[in-house]
Amino acid sequence: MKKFIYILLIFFSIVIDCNSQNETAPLKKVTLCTQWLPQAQFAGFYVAQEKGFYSKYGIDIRIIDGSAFIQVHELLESGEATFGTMRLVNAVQHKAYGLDIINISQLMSVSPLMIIAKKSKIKKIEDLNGKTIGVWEDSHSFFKGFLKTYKLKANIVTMSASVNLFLLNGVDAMAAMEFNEFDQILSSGFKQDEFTIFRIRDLGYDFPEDGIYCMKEIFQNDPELCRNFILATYEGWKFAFDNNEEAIEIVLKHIKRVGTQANRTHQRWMLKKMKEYYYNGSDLRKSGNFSFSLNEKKYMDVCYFLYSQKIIAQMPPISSFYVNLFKKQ
Amino acid sequence: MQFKNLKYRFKLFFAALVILLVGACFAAYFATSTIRNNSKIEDKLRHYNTTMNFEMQKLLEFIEQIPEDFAFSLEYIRFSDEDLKEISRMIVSLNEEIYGNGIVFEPKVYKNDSINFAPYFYRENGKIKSQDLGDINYYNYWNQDWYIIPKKLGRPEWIEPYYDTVAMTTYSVPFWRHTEDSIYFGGIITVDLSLDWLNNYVNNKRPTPNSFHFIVSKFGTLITFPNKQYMFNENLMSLSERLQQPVFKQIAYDIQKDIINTYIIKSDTLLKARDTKKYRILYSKLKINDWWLFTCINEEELLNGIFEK
Repeated sequence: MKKFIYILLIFFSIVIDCNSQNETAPLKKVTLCTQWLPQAQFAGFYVAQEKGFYSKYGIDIRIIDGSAFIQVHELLESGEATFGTMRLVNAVQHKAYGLDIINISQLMSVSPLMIIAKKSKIKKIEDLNGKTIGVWEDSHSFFKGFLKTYKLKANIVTMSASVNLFLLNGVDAMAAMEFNEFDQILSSGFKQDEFTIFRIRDLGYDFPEDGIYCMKEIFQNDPELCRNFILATYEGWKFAFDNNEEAIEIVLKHIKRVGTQANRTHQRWMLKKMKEYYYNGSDLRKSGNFSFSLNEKKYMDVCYFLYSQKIIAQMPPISSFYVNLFKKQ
Repeated sequence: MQFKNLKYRFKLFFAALVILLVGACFAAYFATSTIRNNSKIEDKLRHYNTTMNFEMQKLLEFIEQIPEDFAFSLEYIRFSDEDLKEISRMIVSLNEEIYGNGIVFEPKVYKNDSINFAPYFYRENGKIKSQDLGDINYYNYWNQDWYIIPKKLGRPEWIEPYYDTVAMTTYSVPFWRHTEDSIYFGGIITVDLSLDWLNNYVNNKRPTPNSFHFIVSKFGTLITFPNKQYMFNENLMSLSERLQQPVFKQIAYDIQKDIINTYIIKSDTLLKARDTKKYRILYSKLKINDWWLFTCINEEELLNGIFEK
């Protein structure tokens, strides 16, 4: 009995202690802007919010959905967003153009980018010569540079975020993310062997994709906030990968909030692909973890590519672009 | 003794023959009745599908005519801003089938000083409202499927279902401007159909209480479905996974190759029925826009003659 009372006392003292901690340290309000509308590409953030991981680390989070009209870098600059996700190739350009952002975590360490074409028209990379390729508005410069390095002359046109122009033969090939458009094409009633797929990572351009960014000033003023944000996000992703179906439910809830197509099968595919990218690119994959760190060589590859294609005039040094929040001193 | 035995054998043989004949008669009756039922179901299924197909094409033809006629006028006639807005408003207010209408000019084509002239009228809570799609702070219409696709293809096109204030599908018609010495791309006229409206329209045409039609887009998205949650969100591939009915995956491949077939499935999830129902499914192409009309007949109801009034 004495033992039981003793345990109870310890339990209550912990609870009281936790409560008092909460009272003394109110949650810090932060806003995250994702680079696109809700989908499993951002599952870790939604899960961390829903499961209370951000609150656990003293953060009160609000998520803004990015879109063609809501650009992450603009919100970071204006202060409307504390953190934002961006593609590395875009973030380097913004940095080089003078936006003082910093990468506090590299989420996706491998490139999911591909060019996809109908096999009846295109069989090898040289066949892209003289053809029309649909790309997203923010990817023109990358694809122009990519084609130039392969000495290909193709007509690049802007397409929407859908795969319909390609399926209707409005373009001969299109840029696609393996985790998104590629599955959309296949689920329209086509088989993989009907297409020729050029994985950009297999063609010498394995550029990391999504990372988490904030203005340098935010990091300098409150590095602990940045660290806690990443720790909570990490837990969110880990939970999502270990509890796929629950994570998908949470993602679908966000998709329904904005009204876009809530297709469970597609979101399942996307989360599965995310898991592959996160673990595959990780130095710690053997221990069952992923690293969230930016590989210096890959970063330099991105910089050199953009510089050599005259897309940027100077290469920002990695020390000014990336900070490893968990580096052992 | 031998004679008696022969008589017994003859009786036995005769009895066996009678049983065999009666059995054969029953089997033949059963077989012909099954064939008759099957053929009756197939006939009815084909009839319901063909009738609905005709009706849908008539509806879509009527809808297509509206922007096509107006596009023709726009090629030669120079309307004022106010006239264009009024025409757009009237297209919506006079046609209950239409959710929204946009008259969207190619940037810098309408007037030199007006970069994006794009009036849009739509329904909301029983009222007709307007929006300027040319406001670049909120919209970049030149990157939307309903604008890019007909412009690049140079022909009218039904756009795959998408979400933009409501889930909808759009018929987009390009128009060209004619001057004395040139013809140039002028812009796009759109009419939007709300998927909710279309879903109600199709679901009100049930052949029997637990039979139904549904529509699938050119690339397999469910445009209508009795379970409204599936409408727009699912495609034939994901429907196959969701309902555990591999046949829909096969159909997704088949329709891309214009293969038409009849399938029989047993399902308790197609209509959220409490017990498992046997459905026979037939689909046909709506040739006007390459959508697909599916008719799912509940066999039991059909044979019992329970028809929707």
